[in-house]
Amino acid sequence: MPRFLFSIAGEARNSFPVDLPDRKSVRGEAIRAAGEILRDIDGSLKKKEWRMVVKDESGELVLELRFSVREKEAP
Amino acid sequence: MTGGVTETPPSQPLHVLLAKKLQGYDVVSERELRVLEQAIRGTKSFAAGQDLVSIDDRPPSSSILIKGWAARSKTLENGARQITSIHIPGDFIDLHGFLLHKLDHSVVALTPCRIAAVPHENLRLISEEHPHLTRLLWLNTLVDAAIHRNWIVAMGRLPAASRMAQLICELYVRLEAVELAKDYEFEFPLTQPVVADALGLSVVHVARTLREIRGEELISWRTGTVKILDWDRLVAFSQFDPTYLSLMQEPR
Repeated sequence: MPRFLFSIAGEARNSFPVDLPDRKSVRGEAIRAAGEILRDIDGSLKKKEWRMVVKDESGELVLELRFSVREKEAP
Repeated sequence: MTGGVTETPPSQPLHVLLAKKLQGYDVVSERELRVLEQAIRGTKSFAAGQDLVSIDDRPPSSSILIKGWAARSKTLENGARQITSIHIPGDFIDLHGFLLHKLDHSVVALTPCRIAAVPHENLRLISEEHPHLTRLLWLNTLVDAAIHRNWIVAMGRLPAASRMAQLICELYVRLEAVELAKDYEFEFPLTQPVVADALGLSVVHVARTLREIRGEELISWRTGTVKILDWDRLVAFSQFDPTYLSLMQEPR
């Protein structure tokens, strides 16, 4: 199985490798994982944007996911 | 039960691990131990990935896992699998099948497994003639249900890292109870995709979560062995409370 390197912007630790069946499955797995990770962040997202980057073993970008927050200040 | 191969009986009595487990709940008399031993009729071996019991089966006996790790699991139409509990040697993997008759889930071998079969007619005899042993077997299924409840609460409300840490705490306590682990180290033959199916997570999130609990220096996990580096911190981190495992020897 090919190996992909996942990283989440702003996390102190390095990227983590995940073996997935093929390049096609990266998108679905990444989106599902993003949903789970955002669930755990649970309202305490400090930055305006959360970003996950997936690269292949040669370091080439495969996918980038962004979740951004735009909020009007409460009156 | 299909797919198994009958084996010659080994030298160690087949009921020993289940007996150790039940002795964690209450004193088990010599007579009760003999009844348990004599209730077993034969063993079967299974390769990793085989079903020990399949969904919709109506097995004529219930199985005590005597070697290997197994999982109760259910696979959905889209191929997604949820593991609802993990079984270690000494567990009665489908004692509930005695009264439910038709199984609503499968039990799959996660590693090569061997089971000892207890025919349902022998369980019926135990229930008619040995009330205390019957209560202990009843308790055994109650603890299985308590494990399911704990998993539901964790899956519904705890962050992934706490869930993974709880799984490690639970397995260590259960293995230690049947003397298959000590000194905070144990064989952990699960792959990351299996852990993902047990925790209801994607493999990507499992990989990230593992990095987190390793980074916190709570555990190490190398070549099939988990070492708990700081039990107290792991318990606090995971909010693990072993009450649900009922590992207290008292009159039942």
